[in-house]
Amino acid sequence: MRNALAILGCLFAVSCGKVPIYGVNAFFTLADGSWFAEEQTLFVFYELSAEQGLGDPSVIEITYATDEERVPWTPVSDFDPVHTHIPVDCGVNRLCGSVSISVPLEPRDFDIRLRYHRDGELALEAEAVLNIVGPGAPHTNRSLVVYGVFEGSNQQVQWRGRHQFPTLRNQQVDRLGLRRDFLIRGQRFGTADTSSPTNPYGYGVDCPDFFVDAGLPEVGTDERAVFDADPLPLGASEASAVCADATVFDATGSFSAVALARKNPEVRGAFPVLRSPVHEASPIQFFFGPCDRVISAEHEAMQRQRLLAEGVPTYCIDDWASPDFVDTLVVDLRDAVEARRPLGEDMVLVVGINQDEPGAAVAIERALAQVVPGERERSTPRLAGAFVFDSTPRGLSLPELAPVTLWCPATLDLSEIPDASVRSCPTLPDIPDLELGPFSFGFLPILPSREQYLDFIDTYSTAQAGRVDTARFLTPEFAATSDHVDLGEFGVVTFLNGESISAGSDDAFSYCVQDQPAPFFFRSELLRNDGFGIVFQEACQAGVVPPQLCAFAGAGLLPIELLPMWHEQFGERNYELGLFWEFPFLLQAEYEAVVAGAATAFGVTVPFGVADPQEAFLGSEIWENDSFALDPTLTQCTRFCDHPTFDSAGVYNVTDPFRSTYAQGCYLPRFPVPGDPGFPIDP
Amino acid sequence: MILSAAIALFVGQAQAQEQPEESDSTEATDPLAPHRVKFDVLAERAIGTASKPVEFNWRRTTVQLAATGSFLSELNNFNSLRGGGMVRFPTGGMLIEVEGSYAAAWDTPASNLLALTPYRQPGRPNRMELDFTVAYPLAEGVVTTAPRFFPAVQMVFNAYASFRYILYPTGFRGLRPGEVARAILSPNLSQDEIDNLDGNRLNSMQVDLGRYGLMLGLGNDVYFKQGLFLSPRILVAVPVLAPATQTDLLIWTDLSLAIGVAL
Repeated sequence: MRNALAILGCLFAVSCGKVPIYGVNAFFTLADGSWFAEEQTLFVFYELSAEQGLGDPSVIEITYATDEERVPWTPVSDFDPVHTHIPVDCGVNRLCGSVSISVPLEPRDFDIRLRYHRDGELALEAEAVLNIVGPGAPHTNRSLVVYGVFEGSNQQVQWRGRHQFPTLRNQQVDRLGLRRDFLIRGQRFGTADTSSPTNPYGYGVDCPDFFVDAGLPEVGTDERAVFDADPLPLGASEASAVCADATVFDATGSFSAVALARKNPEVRGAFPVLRSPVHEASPIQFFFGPCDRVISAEHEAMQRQRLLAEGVPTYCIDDWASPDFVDTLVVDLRDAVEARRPLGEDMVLVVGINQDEPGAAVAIERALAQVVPGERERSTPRLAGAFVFDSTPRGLSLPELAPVTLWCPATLDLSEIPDASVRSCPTLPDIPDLELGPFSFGFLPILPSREQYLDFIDTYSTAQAGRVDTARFLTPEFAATSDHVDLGEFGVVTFLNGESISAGSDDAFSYCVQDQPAPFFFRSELLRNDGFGIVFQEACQAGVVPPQLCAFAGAGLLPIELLPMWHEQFGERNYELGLFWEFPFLLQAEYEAVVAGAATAFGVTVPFGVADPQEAFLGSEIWENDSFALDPTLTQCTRFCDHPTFDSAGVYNVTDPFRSTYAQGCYLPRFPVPGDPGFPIDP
Repeated sequence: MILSAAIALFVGQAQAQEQPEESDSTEATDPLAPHRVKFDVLAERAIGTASKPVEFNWRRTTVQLAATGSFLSELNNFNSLRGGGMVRFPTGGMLIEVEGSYAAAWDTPASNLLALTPYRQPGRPNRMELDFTVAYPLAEGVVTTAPRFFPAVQMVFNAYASFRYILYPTGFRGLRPGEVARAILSPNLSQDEIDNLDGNRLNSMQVDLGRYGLMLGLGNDVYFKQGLFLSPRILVAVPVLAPATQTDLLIWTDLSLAIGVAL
C-alpha cells in the first residue's frame, strides 16, 4: 500500500503541469524562382513541410525588386497569374504550389517566406533561388517546348508540351500546379529531320517548304498532351515527320514556333518462327550378350524390358576378342541400317550390352564408331545416332562417338563439363536405403548398372524395379539442301532449308536476351568468304576479337546475337539462319518408377512399393518442338530507325534512337494511344 | 411513528438498566429496572443501523436514464464541453454506468493568439466519447433541503472510476477494415488518423495522440422520492495509461452534471 501511494505520488508530481507547447518546425524544401526574358514572366515554385500545424491560415508570400519597382511581401494569391495554377494538395503538414507573375524587367532581391498565420506577424523566410533565363532560341530559352509523338501505328500524332525550367523537372512542375495552354495549327508532313543533338525535339526550327498540308484541324489543351482528332492522310505513310505551328502564351501575349513530330521506328520480327519437321525415328535394335553362358538372367531381362527389346535375338559376343569381330559387326550394323533406309524414315540404333568383360563393350564401341558418326549429317533418311544400355558404368572411349551416342549408365567425370552422351544418364552415387525399424525403403534408377540392379532385387523384388512403358526417338528431318557446319565438341549448326533474313543496308536489328540462349547462328556472303575467314582468324590471334567469337572463326558463321552489330558494320542484304543443336535425337521415355519398401520380421521379408509414372528426356531437348520462335529475340527495324523510341514504361526517349540503343537490348515499346490521360510520363 | 416507538422502547430499556445503581428501593418496586438503558447509549447503538434508504431506494431500481453535460478543464488553451446520455444499472450495491457523449472544442483568445505563432499545443478536436464507469457508494442518507418546501431527498456520496474511450469517426476515413480494427484497439492514434483529423483540429491545436484514459472522482447522487435524480461529480484524469497512449494531456478534470430518472 505504501509503495503504491509512493508511485502514485511520483506520477502526479511529474504530471502536474500545463499542457506543453511545441514548435511546428516548418522548413522549405523548394523555394525557386525562374524569370524568362523572352516571356517577361517570373515563375515561382515553393514546397514546404512541417511537423504539424500548417493549414489554411498559413500563407506563402514573395517579394522582389526590379529597376522600376519594388514589390513588398505579398501573398501569392494576391498576384494576377499569367498562366493557370491549380490548387495543389501536397499532403498533410505540407504546402506547395506555384505562381507566374508578369515581370517585364529582370528581377532581383527575390525571396519567399511562410507567414504562419495570415493575421500574424511571424514568418519563416526561405533560402530562395532565382534563375534568370535571358533571351535566346525557343528550345533553350523558353519555359515550354512543344513536340509531337506518334501512336503505335504511326498514323496519329499526340502533341505534347514539356516544361523546361532550370531547377525543376517537367512532371514536378505539373505537380506544383502549373498548367500551360498551347495550340497546334497548320500541320504538314514530309520527310526531313530538323532535330539536332542540341535541339532533340526540333522545337522552333522551320520545316522545309516541300512539306504537304495534312488538312488536320487545330487542337489545343491546357494539359501536357493532346491527340489530333484525326489520323494523317494515307499519303503521309512514307513521310517521316509532321511539322506544325505551335502557339504558346506568356506575359507578352502569344508566341508561335514550329513543333516537330517524328514517326516511331517501324519494327517487326526479323524471322518470327523457324519451323522444321521433327519426326519419330525408327529404332534398329541390337542386343549383345554371351551365348555360351548366362551372366544374370534377371539383369538381362531387365535390360531387354528397358529397351523394349524382349523379342530381339541375342548377338553373340563370346568371340569379341577375335580380330574380325569388329569388322563383322560393322557389316551387320550397316546391313541393318541399309535394310531399313528404303522405308524413308530416320533411324536410331538401340543397343543393349549384357557383358561382364569391359573389352566386349570397347569392341562394340569401335564398331559403332565406324557406322554412326558418318550418318549424322546426311539428309533424311539417315541414322541419327545410337542409344546404348550397357551392363556396367563406363564412359565413351572414342570421342567421335560422343556427338551421336547416348551411353548409359555412364560414369560422370565431375572435373570437366560432360557432353550429352554421358550427362543424360549418369550413375548416381549409391544412396543408402532408409531404415526405419523393420522397414527399409529404397529407389532404383530406371537405367541401372547390373550391380545396382542385383543389389536392389536382393533386398526388394523385380516387381519393384520399375518398367519402361514407351520410348520415342525424336529427330529432325533434314532436307536434301540442309547444310551442316560442325562446331566440334560444341555441336552442329544446320541451315535447314535455306531460311534467311533479308535486310536493307539502312535497316537495324535488335537482339533481346532471353532466359534460354537462342540456338541460332547466321552466316552471310562475307562470312563465307575465305579471305574474310583468314582476316578474322588473324584478328583472333592478335587478340582483337573477343575469345568467345574466335571459337567460330574458322566456321564462317556467328551467333545470332552478333547480327545487329554485324549488320551495322557491313550492312549485308541477306543472312542465312541456322539452328544450333548439340545432339541428333531426343529419347522421350515414359516409365514407372517405384519407391520400394520391405518389411522384415521373424526372418520373413515382405516387399511393397508405390508406383509413380514418370517421363524422361535423354539427349537434346531442342527436338521436343518443331518450331523455334525468334520473334521476341531478334527484331528488325526497316524504317525510321534513327528516330527516338518509347520504352516499356511509355517514356519518349528523344535521345535514344532505335539503331544505337537497342542493338543489344530488348525493344518493348509502350506507345501512347488516343484516350490516354493528358499527362504522359515524361521525366 | 415507528422510529418514535423504537426510541421509547430503548429509552425504557436504558432506564431499566440504570435504576438499580441509583436506588435499591426502586429496583425492588420496578420490575423493568434491569432492562433500562440511558438515552445516549441507545443513540450510540442506533447509529449505523438506520442507514438504509427510506426516502428512495435506488438499489431496487432496474435502470436509470440521464442526460449529462460536463465542462472539461484540460489545462491547455482550448475550451471543451460535453453533452450526452447515460444509462445506469444498480448492481451489487454499486452502479454501473455507460455513457455516450459528444465533446466539442473551440478556441479561446489565448489559442487564437497561439495560432499566429509557429507553436502548437496538444488538444482534442470535436469527438465522440464513451465512458464506462463504476460508482461505489461511500455514504448515504436522508437529508433535508433548502428551501424547506422541497421534500427531503435521498443522498448518496459515491466514488467513481471511469474508463473513457475517445472516438474520432472521421479519423477512419479511407482506412481499410483491418486498419480500422487495428486502430480501434491501439492505445494511440495512427499517423493516418492524425492526417485525417488535420482538417478538424483548431488552428493552434496539435491533435493529441491518446485514444483512451482512466479517470477517478467523487460525487453525489440526489434522489427525489419520485425517482428523479441529480448527479454532480468531479472526475480527474489519472495518467497511468499515458506511457501507452502517448497523450500530452496528463492531469485534467471533468466537472459534470447528470439529470435523470430512476425506473
